[in-house]
Amino acid sequence: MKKISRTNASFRNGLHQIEKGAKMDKKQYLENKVKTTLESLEGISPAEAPDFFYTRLQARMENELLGQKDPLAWVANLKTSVVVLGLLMVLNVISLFMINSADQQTTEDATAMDMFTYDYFAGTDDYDYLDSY
Amino acid sequence: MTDQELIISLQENSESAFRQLIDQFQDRVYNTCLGLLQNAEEAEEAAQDVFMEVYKSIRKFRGDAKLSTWIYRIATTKSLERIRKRKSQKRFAFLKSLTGSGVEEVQPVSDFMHPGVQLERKENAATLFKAIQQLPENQKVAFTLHKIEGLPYQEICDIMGISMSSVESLMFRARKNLQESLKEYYEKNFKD
Repeated sequence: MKKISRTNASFRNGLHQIEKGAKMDKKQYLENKVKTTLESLEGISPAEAPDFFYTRLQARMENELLGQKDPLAWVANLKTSVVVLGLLMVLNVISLFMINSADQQTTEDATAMDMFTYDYFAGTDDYDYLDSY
Repeated sequence: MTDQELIISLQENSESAFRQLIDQFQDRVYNTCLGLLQNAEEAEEAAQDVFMEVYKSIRKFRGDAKLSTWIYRIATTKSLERIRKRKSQKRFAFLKSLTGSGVEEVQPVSDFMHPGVQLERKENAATLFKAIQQLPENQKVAFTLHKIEGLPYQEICDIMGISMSSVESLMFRARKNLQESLKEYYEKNFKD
């Protein structure tokens, strides 16, 4: 019995040692892996710009810098706006005059119509001179 | 042609001087942009942005810093601008997908492989590049300029406009953060 229990104890001890060893191995492995990964950029050679870099840059610069809008373009736009605004104001003034003259004409027409109505459709009571009789 | 002569010619709008500037700096600018953006197409566009900015701003350049320092500074700024834009596009696409209006898929950055990495180190380098992407901006810039572009700390100080101790601190924190994220990554992906 004693022999068996002693064997079990040594087996357990052995297992423990293996587990401990495995843990150490894992730890060691991870440490090494991190170390080698951090060192992986040692001796790196610099990357070279792609072929025709200058040609492509030149094309882009021509597009973006030379094809850019004139920074004073808004002045030209302002001129156009002023002209359009002026035209609108002139049109406004003209229409104002036209409306005024049309009002005046309407008033004159209305007066003539009132006189006509008064003369032809007035009742006898409207003739003040009859009251004198 | 010295830097000073090149600057004067550039300020006089000399096309040959501009051509010389491109020849002299295109690889350095492209390599820096590529390291930060981890995408070849975007890196080329960013490098073009850099030279267009140089063309537009050369008259304002007073020569307080070295020409190369100034160009590197523009390169890092333009690359970071693109990274920020990419992030905001991702956020916008996420919000759009939540509201369900016109779902536009943002293409994830695929596994990046720098063309200058040695063949036997490619797998590890791909993992490292993923981890670099997660670093805060300043750490990413310092780490990239030093490890990928191979610049000394002093030049990184000039480019970033910070002291030597700040660069050292950035590099220390970058390495620590990378160690942690790599450890986490390998623990998750550990196979017995």
